[in-house]
Amino acid sequence: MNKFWKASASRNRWEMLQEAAVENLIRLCGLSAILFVFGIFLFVFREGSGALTSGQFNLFDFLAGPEWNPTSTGGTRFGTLPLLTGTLAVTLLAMAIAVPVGLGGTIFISEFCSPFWRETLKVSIEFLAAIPSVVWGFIGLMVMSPLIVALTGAPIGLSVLNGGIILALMSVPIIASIGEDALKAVPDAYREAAIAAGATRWQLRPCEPHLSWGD
Amino acid sequence: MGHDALAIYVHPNNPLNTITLDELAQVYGRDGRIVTWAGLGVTVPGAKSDEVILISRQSHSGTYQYFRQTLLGAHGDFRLGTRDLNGSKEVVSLIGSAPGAMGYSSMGYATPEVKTLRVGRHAGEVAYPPTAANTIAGTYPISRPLYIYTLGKPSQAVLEYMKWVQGAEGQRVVETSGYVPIVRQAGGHHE
Repeated sequence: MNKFWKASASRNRWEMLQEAAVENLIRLCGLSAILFVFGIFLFVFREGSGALTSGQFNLFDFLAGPEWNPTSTGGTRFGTLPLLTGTLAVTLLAMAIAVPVGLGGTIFISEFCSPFWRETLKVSIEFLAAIPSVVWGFIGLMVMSPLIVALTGAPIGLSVLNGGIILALMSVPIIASIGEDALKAVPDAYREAAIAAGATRWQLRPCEPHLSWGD
Repeated sequence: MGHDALAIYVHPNNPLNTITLDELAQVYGRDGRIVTWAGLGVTVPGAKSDEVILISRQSHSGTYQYFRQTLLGAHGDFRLGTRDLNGSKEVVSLIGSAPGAMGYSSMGYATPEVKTLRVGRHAGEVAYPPTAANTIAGTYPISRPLYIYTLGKPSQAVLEYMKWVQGAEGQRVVETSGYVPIVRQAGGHHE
């Protein structure tokens, strides 16, 4: 009896050690993901801090200067206003297109689809989300640019419209995919309660506030 | 390892055929005064506006640096508002679809969808097309030699590769890619 007790106690301790080791390893892996992201910020900031502390750095000129020409041999200018406005313009246009389409697709797939179409559409959306952004850029240059010239009479197709549409096309699959996961996480109890109270399927859309958990 | 000429590309419908370095500096330069095709003396049929749409390269490109140096001198700057593209090939394909555009790229990337201009140094001088013969002769004003650089003395394998590039086979590849091969001088050898 004593022999069995001691044997099982030591086996227990060994298992507990193993358990703790694996748990700590997984904790380390999870922390490392966060650490690496912070590491990126740290190293970029360290490399650039020389410019920030050089005494010649003027925050107003940097943010509001209208010319960005860091490789000029005649006079370097570091105004990021054109870069900021470009990003803002393209992003706002892309979100104006992508959010309604993405959310609409999400709700359709999650609530109104037949199971066959749901699976087909989900797989297609995952494929679309996996297209590398280089390919989207190429599509923008080769396909969207002549299309914009032909349809809008612009002199050239490289424009905010082009960038906004391509960015929207890139974002819609990701919005739909994440949104669909979030809607699936809504407890069925909510849906069943709503149906029991007499709501139609369209009136079930108040499930949407739970979509915010999906970000 | 070879020579290259930077050709000025325009759309085939563009009636312009020749241009001088001075005009190019006025078109591409920061303080240049030519902004429309009317300023160059032509109207482009099919162009939606008279503005010269400048296609350029991004600032890390050797083509960009060389073009700026040749045209605008050591301290010149390009005009703001050029469309900066990523690669030599994209420049040519974009010009093929935009009648009001002008851009520069290696002459090896020419396609039937674009037209190259003859370039002269100054008004009244002969304007030469970007051909292999004009590049070697130095008559085409925007031509440059292409070099391979090594960090210090090259190792044996790298030396073999460089010898191959300068040999008959490598030069044949240079030629089929659209660049200009090295001219062999009798009795001499290139380092």
